Amino acid sequence: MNVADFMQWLAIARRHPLSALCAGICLFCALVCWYIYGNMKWLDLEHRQVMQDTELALASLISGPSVRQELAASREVTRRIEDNLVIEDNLAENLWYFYKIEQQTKAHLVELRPVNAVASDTKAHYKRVPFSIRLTGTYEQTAGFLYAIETGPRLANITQLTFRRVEPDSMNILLDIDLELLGKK
Amino acid sequence: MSRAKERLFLAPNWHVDCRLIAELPEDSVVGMRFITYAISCAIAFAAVLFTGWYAYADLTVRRQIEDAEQKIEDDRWEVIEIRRLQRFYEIESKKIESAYSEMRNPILISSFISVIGKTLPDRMVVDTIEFNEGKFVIHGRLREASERASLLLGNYLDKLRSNPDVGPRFSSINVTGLDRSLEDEQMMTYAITLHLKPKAR
Repeated sequence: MNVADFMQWLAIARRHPLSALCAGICLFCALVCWYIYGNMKWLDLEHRQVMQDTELALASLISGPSVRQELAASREVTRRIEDNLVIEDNLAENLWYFYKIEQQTKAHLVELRPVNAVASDTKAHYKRVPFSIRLTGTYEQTAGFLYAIETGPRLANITQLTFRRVEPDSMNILLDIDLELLGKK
Repeated sequence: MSRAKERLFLAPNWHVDCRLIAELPEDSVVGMRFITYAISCAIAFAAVLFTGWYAYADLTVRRQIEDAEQKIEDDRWEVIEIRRLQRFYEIESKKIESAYSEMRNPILISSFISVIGKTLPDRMVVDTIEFNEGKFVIHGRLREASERASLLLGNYLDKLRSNPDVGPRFSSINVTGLDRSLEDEQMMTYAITLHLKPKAR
Protein backbone atom coordinates (compact mmCIF):
# COMPACT_ATOMS: atom_id res chain seq x y z
CA MET A 1 0.00 0.00 0.00
CA ASN A 2 1.49 3.28 -1.01
CA VAL A 3 0.69 6.83 0.10
CA ALA A 4 -1.79 7.37 -2.72
CA ASP A 5 -3.79 4.30 -1.66
CA PHE A 6 -3.70 5.45 1.94
CA MET A 7 -4.94 8.90 0.95
CA GLN A 8 -7.71 7.29 -1.06
CA TRP A 9 -8.79 5.20 1.97
CA LEU A 10 -8.62 8.32 4.12
CA ALA A 11 -10.87 10.12 1.67
CA ILE A 12 -13.35 7.25 1.72
CA ALA A 13 -13.30 7.31 5.54
CA ARG A 14 -13.98 11.04 5.51
CA ARG A 15 -16.82 10.56 3.10
CA HIS A 16 -18.34 7.70 5.17
CA PRO A 17 -17.41 8.47 8.81
CA LEU A 18 -20.02 6.13 10.33
CA SER A 19 -18.85 3.21 8.17
CA ALA A 20 -15.27 3.99 9.22
CA LEU A 21 -16.32 3.95 12.87
CA CYS A 22 -18.11 0.63 12.36
CA ALA A 23 -15.02 -0.81 10.69
CA GLY A 24 -12.96 0.33 13.68
CA ILE A 25 -15.40 -1.32 16.05
CA CYS A 26 -15.26 -4.55 14.03
CA LEU A 27 -11.47 -4.47 14.11
CA PHE A 28 -11.48 -3.93 17.86
CA CYS A 29 -13.98 -6.78 18.32
CA ALA A 30 -11.82 -9.07 16.19
CA LEU A 31 -8.79 -8.27 18.36
CA VAL A 32 -10.74 -8.94 21.55
CA CYS A 33 -12.09 -12.24 20.10
CA TRP A 34 -8.60 -13.29 19.08
CA TYR A 35 -7.32 -12.58 22.59
CA ILE A 36 -10.22 -14.50 24.19
CA TYR A 37 -9.75 -17.39 21.76
CA GLY A 38 -6.10 -17.64 22.82
CA ASN A 39 -7.14 -17.67 26.48
CA MET A 40 -9.98 -20.10 25.94
CA LYS A 41 -7.64 -22.90 24.86
CA TRP A 42 -5.85 -22.81 28.21
CA LEU A 43 -9.02 -22.18 30.14
CA ASP A 44 -10.64 -25.18 28.53
CA LEU A 45 -7.75 -27.43 29.57
CA GLU A 46 -7.75 -26.03 33.09
CA HIS A 47 -11.52 -26.36 33.28
CA ARG A 48 -11.36 -30.03 32.28
CA GLN A 49 -8.63 -30.71 34.84
CA VAL A 50 -10.48 -28.93 37.62
CA MET A 51 -13.73 -30.74 36.77
CA GLN A 52 -11.91 -34.08 36.90
CA ASP A 53 -10.47 -33.20 40.31
CA THR A 54 -13.91 -32.11 41.50
CA GLU A 55 -15.48 -35.38 40.35
CA LEU A 56 -12.77 -37.37 42.11
CA ALA A 57 -13.22 -35.37 45.30
CA LEU A 58 -16.99 -35.73 45.04
CA ALA A 59 -16.68 -39.51 44.55
CA SER A 60 -14.46 -39.66 47.63
CA LEU A 61 -16.95 -37.61 49.64
CA ILE A 62 -19.88 -39.79 48.52
CA SER A 63 -18.01 -42.98 49.39
CA GLY A 64 -16.96 -41.52 52.76
CA PRO A 65 -19.73 -43.02 54.95
CA SER A 66 -19.48 -46.46 53.32
CA VAL A 67 -15.66 -46.42 53.63
CA ARG A 68 -16.04 -45.66 57.33
CA GLN A 69 -18.56 -48.49 57.76
CA GLU A 70 -16.50 -50.99 55.78
CA LEU A 71 -13.34 -50.02 57.63
CA ALA A 72 -15.10 -50.52 60.97
CA ALA A 73 -16.41 -53.92 59.81
CA SER A 74 -13.03 -55.04 58.46
CA ARG A 75 -11.28 -53.85 61.64
CA GLU A 76 -13.74 -55.89 63.67
CA VAL A 77 -13.01 -58.97 61.52
CA THR A 78 -9.23 -58.55 61.73
CA ARG A 79 -9.51 -57.91 65.47
CA ARG A 80 -11.38 -61.20 65.87
CA ILE A 81 -8.84 -63.01 63.68
CA GLU A 82 -5.84 -61.55 65.48
CA ASP A 83 -7.28 -62.11 68.96
CA ASN A 84 -7.49 -65.80 68.13
CA LEU A 85 -4.15 -66.28 66.42
CA VAL A 86 -2.06 -69.19 67.59
CA ILE A 87 1.46 -68.53 68.86
CA GLU A 88 3.51 -71.51 67.81
CA ASP A 89 5.75 -71.47 70.87
CA ASN A 90 2.88 -71.18 73.32
CA LEU A 91 2.23 -74.93 73.40
CA ALA A 92 0.22 -75.03 76.63
CA GLU A 93 -2.36 -72.57 75.40
CA ASN A 94 -2.54 -74.22 72.00
CA LEU A 95 -3.24 -77.62 73.53
CA TRP A 96 -5.67 -76.10 76.03
CA TYR A 97 -7.81 -74.98 73.07
CA PHE A 98 -8.30 -78.59 71.96
CA TYR A 99 -8.79 -79.90 75.49
CA LYS A 100 -11.49 -77.29 76.05
CA ILE A 101 -13.33 -78.58 72.97
CA GLU A 102 -12.81 -82.13 74.22
CA GLN A 103 -14.51 -81.18 77.49
CA GLN A 104 -17.41 -79.56 75.68
CA THR A 105 -18.03 -82.42 73.24
CA LYS A 106 -17.16 -85.29 75.61
CA ALA A 107 -14.98 -86.86 72.91
CA HIS A 108 -11.78 -88.52 74.10
CA LEU A 109 -8.48 -87.16 72.82
CA VAL A 110 -6.13 -90.07 72.37
CA GLU A 111 -3.32 -88.18 70.77
CA LEU A 112 -2.60 -84.51 70.28
CA ARG A 113 0.70 -83.24 69.02
CA PRO A 114 1.96 -80.19 67.26
CA VAL A 115 3.73 -80.76 63.97
CA ASN A 116 6.62 -78.69 62.65
CA ALA A 117 5.34 -75.64 60.81
CA VAL A 118 6.07 -75.39 57.12
CA ALA A 119 7.68 -72.11 56.04
CA SER A 120 4.95 -69.99 54.53
CA ASP A 121 5.01 -67.21 51.97
CA THR A 122 7.11 -64.27 53.17
CA LYS A 123 4.42 -61.82 52.01
CA ALA A 124 1.71 -63.54 54.05
CA HIS A 125 0.53 -61.77 57.20
CA TYR A 126 0.03 -65.03 59.10
CA LYS A 127 1.54 -68.47 59.37
CA ARG A 128 0.02 -71.93 59.52
CA VAL A 129 0.60 -73.94 62.69
CA PRO A 130 -0.12 -77.65 62.10
CA PHE A 131 -1.42 -80.20 64.60
CA SER A 132 -2.16 -83.88 64.48
CA ILE A 133 -5.13 -85.16 66.50
CA ARG A 134 -6.61 -88.57 67.20
CA LEU A 135 -9.79 -88.93 69.18
CA THR A 136 -12.48 -91.47 69.89
CA GLY A 137 -16.10 -91.27 70.89
CA THR A 138 -19.59 -91.77 69.62
CA TYR A 139 -20.67 -90.29 66.31
CA GLU A 140 -22.22 -87.28 68.09
CA GLN A 141 -19.08 -86.67 70.16
CA THR A 142 -16.56 -86.93 67.34
CA ALA A 143 -18.73 -85.02 64.86
CA GLY A 144 -19.27 -82.38 67.55
CA PHE A 145 -15.52 -82.10 68.05
CA LEU A 146 -14.97 -81.75 64.32
CA TYR A 147 -17.70 -79.13 64.06
CA ALA A 148 -16.23 -77.16 66.98
CA ILE A 149 -12.80 -77.19 65.34
CA GLU A 150 -14.19 -76.02 62.01
CA THR A 151 -16.41 -73.26 63.37
CA GLY A 152 -14.42 -72.29 66.47
CA PRO A 153 -12.86 -68.88 67.07
CA ARG A 154 -9.45 -70.05 65.83
CA LEU A 155 -9.36 -70.35 62.07
CA ALA A 156 -8.59 -73.92 61.10
CA ASN A 157 -7.91 -75.73 57.86
CA ILE A 158 -8.29 -79.50 57.84
CA THR A 159 -5.72 -80.98 55.52
CA GLN A 160 -6.43 -84.65 56.13
CA LEU A 161 -9.10 -86.59 57.94
CA THR A 162 -10.08 -90.18 58.54
CA PHE A 163 -13.38 -90.94 60.18
CA ARG A 164 -13.82 -94.69 60.85
CA ARG A 165 -15.40 -97.20 63.17
CA VAL A 166 -13.09 -98.58 65.86
CA GLU A 167 -14.36 -102.08 65.00
CA PRO A 168 -16.62 -103.11 62.09
CA ASP A 169 -19.89 -103.14 64.03
CA SER A 170 -18.88 -100.82 66.85
CA MET A 171 -20.70 -97.52 67.53
CA ASN A 172 -17.43 -95.92 68.54
CA ILE A 173 -15.66 -93.77 66.03
CA LEU A 174 -11.96 -93.13 65.65
CA LEU A 175 -11.17 -89.75 64.14
CA ASP A 176 -7.73 -88.78 62.85
CA ILE A 177 -7.31 -85.18 61.86
CA ASP A 178 -4.36 -83.26 60.47
CA LEU A 179 -5.13 -79.60 60.66
CA GLU A 180 -3.55 -76.18 60.57
CA LEU A 181 -4.48 -73.25 62.79
CA LEU A 182 -3.86 -69.69 61.74
CA GLY A 183 -0.90 -68.40 63.69
CA LYS A 184 1.00 -65.23 64.42
CA LYS A 185 4.02 -64.72 62.21
CA MET B 1 -30.58 7.13 -14.53
CA SER B 2 -33.93 7.26 -12.79
CA ARG B 3 -37.23 7.49 -14.53
CA ALA B 4 -37.93 10.98 -12.97
CA LYS B 5 -34.79 12.39 -14.59
CA GLU B 6 -35.72 10.95 -17.97
CA ARG B 7 -39.07 12.67 -17.70
CA LEU B 8 -37.28 16.01 -17.45
CA PHE B 9 -35.80 15.52 -20.92
CA LEU B 10 -39.05 14.37 -22.45
CA ALA B 11 -41.13 17.22 -21.04
CA PRO B 12 -41.41 20.33 -23.16
CA ASN B 13 -38.92 22.81 -21.75
CA TRP B 14 -39.39 26.55 -21.86
CA HIS B 15 -35.70 27.25 -21.61
CA VAL B 16 -32.39 25.48 -22.24
CA ASP B 17 -31.47 22.83 -19.60
CA CYS B 18 -27.90 23.56 -18.53
CA ARG B 19 -27.73 21.16 -15.58
CA LEU B 20 -24.74 18.78 -15.22
CA ILE B 21 -26.70 15.64 -14.45
CA ALA B 22 -23.66 13.66 -13.25
CA GLU B 23 -22.78 16.34 -10.67
CA LEU B 24 -26.26 16.57 -9.19
CA PRO B 25 -26.78 15.05 -5.68
CA GLU B 26 -28.42 11.67 -5.41
CA ASP B 27 -32.20 12.02 -5.27
CA SER B 28 -33.23 8.30 -4.81
CA VAL B 29 -35.59 7.50 -1.89
CA VAL B 30 -33.06 5.12 -0.22
CA GLY B 31 -29.61 6.43 -0.90
CA MET B 32 -26.38 4.49 -1.30
CA ARG B 33 -24.90 6.23 1.74
CA PHE B 34 -27.78 5.10 3.90
CA ILE B 35 -27.48 1.50 2.69
CA THR B 36 -23.72 1.55 3.34
CA TYR B 37 -24.26 2.94 6.84
CA ALA B 38 -27.03 0.45 7.59
CA ILE B 39 -24.90 -2.54 6.52
CA SER B 40 -21.83 -1.20 8.38
CA CYS B 41 -23.85 -0.64 11.54
CA ALA B 42 -25.44 -4.10 11.28
CA ILE B 43 -22.04 -5.76 10.89
CA ALA B 44 -20.57 -3.73 13.76
CA PHE B 45 -23.55 -4.53 15.95
CA ALA B 46 -23.22 -8.24 15.15
CA ALA B 47 -19.49 -8.07 15.91
CA VAL B 48 -20.16 -6.36 19.24
CA LEU B 49 -22.82 -8.95 20.10
CA PHE B 50 -20.56 -11.86 19.19
CA THR B 51 -17.64 -10.39 21.14
CA GLY B 52 -19.91 -9.83 24.12
CA TRP B 53 -21.16 -13.40 24.00
CA TYR B 54 -17.61 -14.73 23.66
CA ALA B 55 -16.41 -12.61 26.58
CA TYR B 56 -19.39 -13.83 28.62
CA ALA B 57 -18.48 -17.46 27.83
CA ASP B 58 -14.89 -16.76 28.86
CA LEU B 59 -16.01 -15.20 32.14
CA THR B 60 -18.40 -18.08 32.81
CA VAL B 61 -15.62 -20.64 32.38
CA ARG B 62 -13.35 -18.60 34.66
CA ARG B 63 -16.08 -18.40 37.29
CA GLN B 64 -16.72 -22.15 37.04
CA ILE B 65 -13.02 -22.84 37.53
CA GLU B 66 -12.89 -20.52 40.52
CA ASP B 67 -16.00 -22.11 42.06
CA ALA B 68 -14.64 -25.63 41.50
CA GLU B 69 -11.27 -24.70 42.98
CA GLN B 70 -12.99 -23.13 45.97
CA LYS B 71 -15.06 -26.28 46.48
CA ILE B 72 -11.99 -28.50 46.21
CA GLU B 73 -10.23 -26.30 48.76
CA ASP B 74 -13.24 -26.41 51.11
CA ASP B 75 -13.45 -30.23 50.97
CA ARG B 76 -9.71 -30.78 50.92
CA TRP B 77 -9.26 -32.03 54.47
CA GLU B 78 -12.29 -34.28 54.38
CA VAL B 79 -11.10 -35.86 51.10
CA ILE B 80 -7.61 -36.37 52.57
CA GLU B 81 -9.20 -38.05 55.60
CA ILE B 82 -11.36 -40.35 53.43
CA ARG B 83 -8.36 -41.32 51.30
CA ARG B 84 -6.42 -42.10 54.48
CA LEU B 85 -9.31 -44.32 55.64
CA GLN B 86 -9.35 -46.01 52.24
CA ARG B 87 -5.66 -46.89 52.64
CA PHE B 88 -6.37 -48.35 56.09
CA TYR B 89 -9.26 -50.32 54.61
CA GLU B 90 -6.95 -51.74 51.93
CA ILE B 91 -4.47 -52.85 54.61
CA GLU B 92 -7.24 -54.48 56.67
CA SER B 93 -8.73 -56.26 53.66
CA LYS B 94 -5.31 -57.56 52.68
CA LYS B 95 -5.02 -59.11 56.14
CA ILE B 96 -8.45 -60.75 55.78
CA GLU B 97 -7.59 -62.00 52.29
CA SER B 98 -4.32 -63.39 53.62
CA ALA B 99 -6.13 -65.24 56.43
CA TYR B 100 -8.68 -66.55 53.93
CA SER B 101 -6.01 -67.77 51.50
CA GLU B 102 -4.13 -69.50 54.34
CA MET B 103 -7.20 -71.16 55.83
CA ARG B 104 -9.63 -71.56 52.96
CA ASN B 105 -11.81 -74.58 53.58
CA PRO B 106 -13.53 -75.81 50.46
CA ILE B 107 -16.27 -77.46 52.49
CA LEU B 108 -17.45 -77.77 56.07
CA ILE B 109 -16.48 -81.41 56.61
CA SER B 110 -18.67 -81.92 59.68
CA SER B 111 -21.67 -80.72 57.69
CA PHE B 112 -20.79 -83.06 54.82
CA ILE B 113 -20.53 -86.05 57.20
CA SER B 114 -23.89 -85.07 58.68
CA VAL B 115 -25.50 -85.00 55.21
CA ILE B 116 -24.04 -88.43 54.44
CA GLY B 117 -25.51 -89.74 57.72
CA LYS B 118 -28.95 -88.31 56.96
CA THR B 119 -29.19 -89.44 53.35
CA LEU B 120 -27.73 -92.93 53.70
CA PRO B 121 -30.22 -95.70 52.74
CA ASP B 122 -31.18 -98.14 55.50
CA ARG B 123 -29.32 -101.09 54.04
CA MET B 124 -26.05 -99.20 53.66
CA VAL B 125 -23.39 -98.75 56.35
CA VAL B 126 -20.42 -96.36 56.28
CA ASP B 127 -17.18 -97.72 57.73
CA THR B 128 -14.71 -94.97 56.91
CA ILE B 129 -14.70 -91.50 55.47
CA GLU B 130 -11.34 -90.21 54.30
CA PHE B 131 -10.52 -86.71 53.21
CA ASN B 132 -7.27 -85.66 51.62
CA GLU B 133 -6.29 -83.07 49.01
CA GLY B 134 -9.80 -82.17 47.92
CA LYS B 135 -10.99 -85.75 47.69
CA PHE B 136 -13.40 -87.72 49.88
CA VAL B 137 -13.43 -91.50 49.80
CA ILE B 138 -16.29 -93.27 51.58
CA HIS B 139 -15.91 -96.97 52.30
CA GLY B 140 -18.81 -99.07 53.55
CA ARG B 141 -20.92 -102.16 53.27
CA LEU B 142 -24.41 -103.03 52.11
CA ARG B 143 -26.44 -106.15 52.51
CA GLU B 144 -27.85 -106.75 49.04
CA ALA B 145 -27.34 -108.99 46.05
CA SER B 146 -24.79 -107.57 43.60
CA GLU B 147 -27.38 -106.38 41.02
CA ARG B 148 -29.57 -104.68 43.59
CA ALA B 149 -26.47 -103.31 45.31
CA SER B 150 -25.31 -101.57 42.16
CA LEU B 151 -28.84 -100.23 41.57
CA LEU B 152 -29.05 -98.99 45.16
CA LEU B 153 -25.64 -97.32 44.92
CA GLY B 154 -26.59 -95.68 41.61
CA ASN B 155 -29.75 -94.27 43.14
CA TYR B 156 -27.83 -93.08 46.17
CA LEU B 157 -25.27 -91.27 44.03
CA ASP B 158 -28.09 -89.56 42.10
CA LYS B 159 -29.54 -88.49 45.44
CA LEU B 160 -26.15 -87.08 46.51
CA ARG B 161 -25.66 -85.25 43.21
CA SER B 162 -29.07 -83.63 43.48
CA ASN B 163 -28.57 -82.66 47.13
CA PRO B 164 -28.10 -78.86 47.23
CA ASP B 165 -25.50 -79.12 50.03
CA VAL B 166 -23.39 -81.74 48.29
CA GLY B 167 -23.92 -81.82 44.50
CA PRO B 168 -22.82 -78.29 43.60
CA ARG B 169 -19.60 -78.56 45.63
CA PHE B 170 -18.18 -81.60 43.85
CA SER B 171 -16.91 -81.95 40.33
CA SER B 172 -17.45 -85.70 40.34
CA ILE B 173 -19.23 -88.27 42.54
CA ASN B 174 -18.54 -91.83 41.44
CA VAL B 175 -18.53 -95.40 42.68
CA THR B 176 -14.91 -96.56 42.62
CA GLY B 177 -15.39 -100.00 44.10
CA LEU B 178 -18.12 -102.60 44.54
CA ASP B 179 -16.99 -106.07 45.65
CA ARG B 180 -18.37 -109.03 47.47
CA SER B 181 -17.21 -109.14 51.09
CA LEU B 182 -14.66 -111.83 51.87
CA GLU B 183 -16.14 -112.49 55.31
CA ASP B 184 -19.83 -112.54 54.38
CA GLU B 185 -21.23 -113.76 51.03
CA GLN B 186 -24.40 -111.69 51.47
CA MET B 187 -22.48 -108.50 52.04
CA MET B 188 -21.08 -106.13 49.40
CA THR B 189 -18.36 -103.59 50.09
CA TYR B 190 -18.37 -100.30 48.21
CA ALA B 191 -16.21 -97.21 47.75
CA ILE B 192 -17.52 -93.83 46.67
CA THR B 193 -15.09 -91.10 45.59
CA LEU B 194 -16.05 -87.46 45.57
CA HIS B 195 -13.76 -84.80 44.09
CA LEU B 196 -14.23 -81.25 45.34
CA LYS B 197 -14.46 -78.47 42.80
CA PRO B 198 -11.28 -76.38 42.83
CA LYS B 199 -12.07 -73.15 44.66
CA ALA B 200 -11.23 -69.89 42.92
CA ARG B 201 -8.53 -67.91 44.79
